[in-house]
This record gives sequence, C-alpha cells and structure tokens, in this order.
Amino acid sequence: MSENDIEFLEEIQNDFLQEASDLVSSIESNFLELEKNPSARSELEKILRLFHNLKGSAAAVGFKHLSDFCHHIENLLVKIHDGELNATSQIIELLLKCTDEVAKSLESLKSDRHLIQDFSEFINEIEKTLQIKTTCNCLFEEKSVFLPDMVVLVKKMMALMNINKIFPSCNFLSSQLKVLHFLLQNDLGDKYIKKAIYIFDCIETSNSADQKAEYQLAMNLLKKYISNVENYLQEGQPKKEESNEDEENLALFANEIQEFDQSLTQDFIADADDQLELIDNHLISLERDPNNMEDIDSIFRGYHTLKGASAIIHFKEIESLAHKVETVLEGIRAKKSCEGTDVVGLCLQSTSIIKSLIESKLMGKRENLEESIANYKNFIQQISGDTKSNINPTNLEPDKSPEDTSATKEEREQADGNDVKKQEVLLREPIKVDADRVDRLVDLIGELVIAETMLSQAPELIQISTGTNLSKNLDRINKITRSLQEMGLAIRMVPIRHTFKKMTRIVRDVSKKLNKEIDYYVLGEETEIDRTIADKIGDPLVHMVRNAIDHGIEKTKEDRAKKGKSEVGRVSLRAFHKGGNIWIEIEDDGRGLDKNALIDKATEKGIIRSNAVLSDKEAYHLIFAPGFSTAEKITDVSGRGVGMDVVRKNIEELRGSIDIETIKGEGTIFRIRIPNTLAIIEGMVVVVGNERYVIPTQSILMAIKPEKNRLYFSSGTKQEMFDYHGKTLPLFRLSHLYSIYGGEQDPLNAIILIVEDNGKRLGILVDRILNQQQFVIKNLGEMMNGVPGISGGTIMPDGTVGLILDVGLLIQNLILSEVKMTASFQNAA
Amino acid sequence: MKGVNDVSTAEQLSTDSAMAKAQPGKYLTFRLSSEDYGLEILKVQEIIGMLPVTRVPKMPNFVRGIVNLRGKLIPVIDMRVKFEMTVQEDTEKTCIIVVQFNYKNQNLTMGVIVDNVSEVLDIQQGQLEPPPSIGTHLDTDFILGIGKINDKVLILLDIDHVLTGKEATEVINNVSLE
Repeated sequence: MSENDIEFLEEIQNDFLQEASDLVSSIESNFLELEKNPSARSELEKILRLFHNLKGSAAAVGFKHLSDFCHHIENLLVKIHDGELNATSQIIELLLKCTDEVAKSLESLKSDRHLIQDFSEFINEIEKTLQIKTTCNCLFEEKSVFLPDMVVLVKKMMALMNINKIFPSCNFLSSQLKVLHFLLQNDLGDKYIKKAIYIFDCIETSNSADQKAEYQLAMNLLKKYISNVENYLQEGQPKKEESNEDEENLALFANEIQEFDQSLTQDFIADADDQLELIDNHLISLERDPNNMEDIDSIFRGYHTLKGASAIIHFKEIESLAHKVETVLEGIRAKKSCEGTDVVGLCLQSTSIIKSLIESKLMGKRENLEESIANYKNFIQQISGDTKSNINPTNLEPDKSPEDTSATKEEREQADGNDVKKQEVLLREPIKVDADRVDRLVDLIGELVIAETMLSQAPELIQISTGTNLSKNLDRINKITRSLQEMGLAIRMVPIRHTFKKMTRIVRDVSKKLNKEIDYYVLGEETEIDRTIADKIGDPLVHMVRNAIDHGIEKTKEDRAKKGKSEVGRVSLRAFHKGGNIWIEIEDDGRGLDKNALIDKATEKGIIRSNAVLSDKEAYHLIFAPGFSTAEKITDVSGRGVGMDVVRKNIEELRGSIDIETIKGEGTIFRIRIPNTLAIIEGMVVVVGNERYVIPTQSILMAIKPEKNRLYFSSGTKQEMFDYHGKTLPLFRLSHLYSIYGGEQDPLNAIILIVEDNGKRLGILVDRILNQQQFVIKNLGEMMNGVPGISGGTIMPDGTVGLILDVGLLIQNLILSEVKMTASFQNAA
Repeated sequence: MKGVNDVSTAEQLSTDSAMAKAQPGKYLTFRLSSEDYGLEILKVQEIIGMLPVTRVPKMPNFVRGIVNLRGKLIPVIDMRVKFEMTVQEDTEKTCIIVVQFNYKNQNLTMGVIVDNVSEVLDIQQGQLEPPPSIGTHLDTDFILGIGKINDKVLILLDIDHVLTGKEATEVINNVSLE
C-alpha cells in the first residue's frame, strides 16, 4: 500500500476502534437485561445488530480475526433469535465473556494494529453450544429410528441446557456431547442409555434442589461413565463393575429428592435432640455400672424411638443406623451385661453420627454431608463386623432391611408400646411463641400487679369495701392477679436441668481427654431460672467445669493419694434459690488456689505492681483478669486465660456476682449469685423518718421489739449489738446508714428486723413496719446502679418510687467499710 | 506568671474551642433564680410537672432522687443545687425537664428540676457567642455558649457535661457507705 493508503487505513481503523469500544461497553447492560428477561426481543435485536455491524466493519478495516470472532458470536445470537436456543444464564455468561474478549482485543489493537488475537477457545465453546443443539435437533428429526430411551436422554440434555443456573459450562457441555456421540455412533445397548439417563436425572434434580454435594457426585459419576465407555470402546469389553461408591452415595441422596415436610422435620429434629440427650445420659451412667440393665433398656428405647421417628420422615440412614445399634443392644440384653464390650463407645459414636447426619441433611449444614455419610458407612461396616463376631449369629441378621427382626415378639411389643407413649408425650410438649410477645405479656402482667395493688389499697376504697360485694370482687381480682403473676413467671422460667445436662457430657469428654477420673454430682437441677439467665449462664459454666477438671483436680492419682484424697476427683454443681437470688456453686476437691502463685503470676504479667499487697479475696479475683493463667502450657481445653474473663463478663451482664472460696490443697468453691431480675418479690415496707424502704421478705428472719437489757454498745468498735436467742448480733440503724433525718432514735420505740443473707445475720433498726405486699422490681437506671445496699427500685401503691434493700449487698458494703456512727449525727436528730 | 501573649493565646484557644460548641438551632429556655438558661431541644424528651421524688441515699447533694415516669424510674437533678444557688421551695411553676444525655457512649435519661420553663427559641449563628472564659461562677465546661436574643442573655448548657466527669462517675459507679 502506498503511504497515503496506509495513513488512510490507520485513520479509519482508529475511527472504528473508537466507535467499536464505545458500543461494546454499552452492550453489557443489554445482556443483563436479556438475562433478566429472556424474551426481551428488543434487547436481543440490539445486541445482534451490534455484532453484525462489528463483523462487517472489522472486516472492512482489515481486522480479519476479530471479524471472524464476531461472526461466530453472531451465529450464536441468531440461533437465540430464531428460538432454537434459549438465552440461559450459561449462554449469556458465554456471550458476556466473548464480549469482554472483543473489548480487550479492541484495546490491544489500539496499540498494536497487527496483533492477532487467538479467539479459538471461545470459538470452540460457541461451537459446542451450537452443536449440542444441532445434534439434538437432528435426533428429533430422526426420532423414529431411535430407541425411546434415547429420546428421553436427549430431552434431558436439552432441559439441562435450559436450566438457569451457572454450571461449569464448558466441561459439562463437552461431556454432554461425548455422551451423545457414544450413544449415537455406537450401539452400546440399553443399559448404557439408561445409566446415562439416570446420571443426567441426578444432575437435573440436584441442581434444581440446589444440592451442591450431590451435584458434585453426579458429575463424578458422569466422568466415570464417560471413561468407562471410552474404555469399552477401546478394549471392546466393558470395564469390570467395581463397587461404585459414588453411585451408592447418589442413591442415598436420591431419597432426599422427596420434599421433607417442613413441620415434620422440625418435630423430628426436636425429638431426636431429646432422644439423643437421653441416650447420652444413660450411656454415661452405663459406663459407670456396666451391669445396669435399666440403662440398657432406656438406651434401647431411645434408639427405638429414633428409628420410628426417622422412618416417618423417610430418613433411611438414621433408621438403619438405629436398627443396627438396636441389634447390638439386643445381644447385650441377652447377656445381661456389657462388660468386656465397648458398647458404650459404639453407641456414643453412633449418636455423634446421627447428630451430624441430622445437621447436614436437615439443618442445611451441607459441607459436612459427605463426611457424615462417609462416617455413617464406615460405622455400619464396623458394626456389622462386630456384631457378627460378638453375638450369636443365628439371632441376628444385621443386614436385613429395617423391619422387625428376631427378638421375642413380646419384648418388641412392649418396647413399641412404651415408645408410642413416649413419642406422644414428647410431641405434646413445646409450642413456639415469639419471644418478644412473651416478654410483653410478662411486662403487662407486672403492670397489672401494680395497678391492682394501687386499686385495692386506695384509701377511698378501703373505707367502703369491707364486707360488701365490692370487697369480695376485689379479693377475687387479687387472687386472679396473683395467679397470673405466677404463670407469667413460670412461662419464662426453665429448669436449670437443661444447662446442667450439657455439663455431663463435657465432664466425660474432658476427663477422658485429660485422663483423670471424675465423679460428677449435680444438685438442684429442678431449680427454675429465667430463660435469659439460662442462655447466658451456659458458657461460663462450661468454662468453669473445664477449669475445675483441668486446673483444679490434680494431674495424677498419685498426687491425690499423697494428699490423702480418693483417687477419683470430685466435681459438683449446685443450684438453688435464696434471698431473691439464684445461686450456682461449682465445687471441686482439687488443688485449690494458691494466693502467692497468683500474685506472682499477676506481677509477672504486669497486672499488678510488684510490691502490691492484696487481700485473699483480691488475690483470688485475679483469675478473672483477661489473659491471666497459671497454666504451664495451653491445651485445647484451657490455658489461655480467656475462660474466666468470659465468666466474669457474662455474670456482670446478668448483674450478678461471683465469689471464691478456696483452701490450698483441698479444693475450691465458686459461688455465683444472680439476682432474679424478673422477680416480683414479696417485700415488707418499713418506715424510717419520712422515707420508706422495701426489704424482701425472704431475707427477713423476724421482727422484734428491742428490750433494754438486750441492747449493747461496744465503745471500742462503736458498734451497737443486741441479743437474739443467746447470740449477739450487730445492729445497724438504717437512719444512720442512709443519713435519714427524723428517724426514731430510741431503739426502744423502734423495731429491729433480723435479716439474714448467706448465713450472716444482723439486725436493722427501723421506725416501724407498714405492711407486706408484692412489688415489681424495676431497674434504677445506669446512674444509680452503685448505691450501696440498694438492688433496685419499685413503684409503691401510691405511685411514688420505693427503694428495695438488698441484704446481701448491704452486708457486703458493711464488711468492706466500717460504719462510723458519729456523735454529731446523733445530735442532729 | 504567663506573659501577656500567653494569656491571650490561652483565651484564644479556649474561645476557639468554645466557639465550636454552640450550634445554631432551637433551644428550650428556662429559668433558675433570675438567670435564663437554654438546652438543645433535641436532647429534651419531655417536660413534666413536679412529681413526688424519692430520695436516694449516698448520692451527691444535687441529686434529689428518683421519680416514677410512667413506670420507668429516672433520677432527677436539682439544677439550683448543682449551680450552688440559694435553695428555694418548689413552687407550682417548678417542673422537670426530662433530658437524654450521653455518658461514655451510653444514652441516659435524667430529669432536671427548674424553676420554670419559658419557651423554645430559634437561635441563629449571629446570636451566638462563646462563653466568657473568666468572670463567671460556673465551670465553663458545661456551657455551650451564650445566646443574645434582643436583650435577653441566655446561658446555653451542654447537658452532656453538666455532670462533670468526676461527678458522673461518682453517681454512676460504686459509692461506699462512708
């Protein structure tokens, strides 16, 4: 070309590139619009026109390869336009990729006109996409010649092309093609066609139910199938039929294709949870006493129930697993003991597997599905092997389908009968209620209590009411309100049993892990606590129990023997109500806390200054500092110094407190106190001066009128005291404690309330007692949380605010600081 | 002694930082003794008449106690006591302004007892002045600025700082029985 021509060419190429880039960048939105609405012909036409033009213009300015590529893209678009292909996501994806390539090449051509880009990869993909369709179309034209199965297969393949999900398109397309080719060119026989159909079926359904694991398996199967056929064609004979794991797995999954009824599933999950817990507990008890047939019976019933429940929702894996375990248990029952066998271990394994199966299949934790199934299968094999060797083979046939086997019919019926009843009971239990509604209900009940009290104590009413119908009705309202109150509390309360039960398993696991023998005692399981407390207290308890076993109990039995302790370590968990609080105690008879070691470690970590002097209590509370631990090394049980920090935080959030009692070498007790925040407490209203306070009735032992000869004063400690049944108790004047003016100064004209908290007793001097009634505890708000001795506020019948005294807090404060009764104060009265 | 320059720079700095505090907007004005004050209206939750107040022991003397506000217990502060003015009996005009203020990233509700409440004024930028750095008996920490409307001089309060750091801690945290 001449100079001029070259220049001219470059110029028009520039123009083309410029314009083309702009057009191509705007076309993406059209594609997306098309994807959303595959029948939007206008979008399609726009795109078609674009590529058609591009093809022409590129050729005109000498970009042949680009033009060629655009031609291929145009072909694909035409097919879509003609309705022969659907604009599926797959295809749109392909088109977008191609468009990107075009854009890229336009860019690079700007810098290097002679660049020849290799579009072959994309062209191939486009071809393949077109080919399947053409092949399929041809097939349909020659329908009569082919086996009906072929038609089914082809239909399936076409359906797969129209599915709007993104598959790894290229590989799948070529696989489809391969299969088609095999089947078309060779007479492979029915079996192969059927198998192909089956595989594509699985792919379709697993895709439509969005089950990635199954999809993966199905794809693997497809690959295997293809290689099998290739092999066959090469070597002229079919590959040996090996046990096709994937196929079996797929068959298992195929069961899932049934839609589980949502509600049945929920019920089953809850049921299974209960049963598994039950089984676990009995297993642990059985471990301690292998001859306890009652445990075996209970465990048997548990599995039987599981089997039944899983059959209802067609959960075949659990059904057969439970069945196999039942078989093992039968043998044990026959022998009347499970000594010498690892039945417990076996069963525990099975409960784990069942749990993970439930989680992965029913609760959507898909990632674990393969693993769960694998574990399940290994376990089944193992258990079949075991049962064959351990138990009389004539009695049992582990591989029978899950139906009644050879146990005596009566036993079965009995077991069935019990289980039916059990299942009925279980099914009646819970109903789900929105937690917020429950809270509001309880709040409203609280308000009703207040309003009712205000009403019944209104001075106008009291005058009218006695003896009349009015008073009778007021009484009725009062009774009903009280009942409502109880119900309200009860609704939110759960027995702490559930939380404690979790501990049982943890104790077992941790003790096994650390190789320590532990005796675990639980007291007060039936103690009821508020729902929110139960939620929050679980974690701290877990930490503390683990700590008790890990740090508390001595490392070896010899260590314990040396101290004269029994070889078996003792950990106990206690819960009870006291004084308007819930107390939870964790006790171990291990090493106890070493004050000096704690101080040393804390100094080392910089938590305290090196010469700091700490009281016992302060030293023990060092363990709550974040990052504090005296463990020599970190295990996955504990050691990082995180656990106790979590404990402290959670308990603080519950507005509770934790106390430590320990004797080095002998053991430790942790006492957690949590206020019954929800409580509607019963309290006595006392008057001091012109102020009123409420003291919880639970804390009051009795009220006495002081006698002169029973009052003492110790000038040394400036402490007033009084006699009570032979014991001398300290006496505190509320008027002095709270600087109340106008209070009764002469004790003989006042009343002493003897109060108690946690074993400590003291007397509080008040002017007089007004009455006793129920109060709703109200939060005092952030600003007033630290008032000594006051745990909360309430609304008195006349609408004013009353302060609730907390004896425990009061005592704490009195211990921590001396109360000085200044002479000046006494004079001020 | 600081040099003259230093004094003015210090003044400058404090006025500069103080300038930043008062924003134009609506303020609720009220009276304490013979002085007029203003509170940012956005922080005011409601105004209620005097309610019976239950005294809470061991609180700083400007905390009068707690009131029952429709079932919720909120603390109330006696502004006169806080500002060390002569204490007077409550009149029928005495009321409680319920405010929401910020303490350590918590939103707390509190009541402020005042002699009477006047009106809501819209204060423009031009009517705002920085608080005087010297010559007042108030700690300028809790003054947002001064508002001058016609002839009225309003002291605009920063409710978040009315309880100074130390006092707030005292009120909010543990106070021992000593």
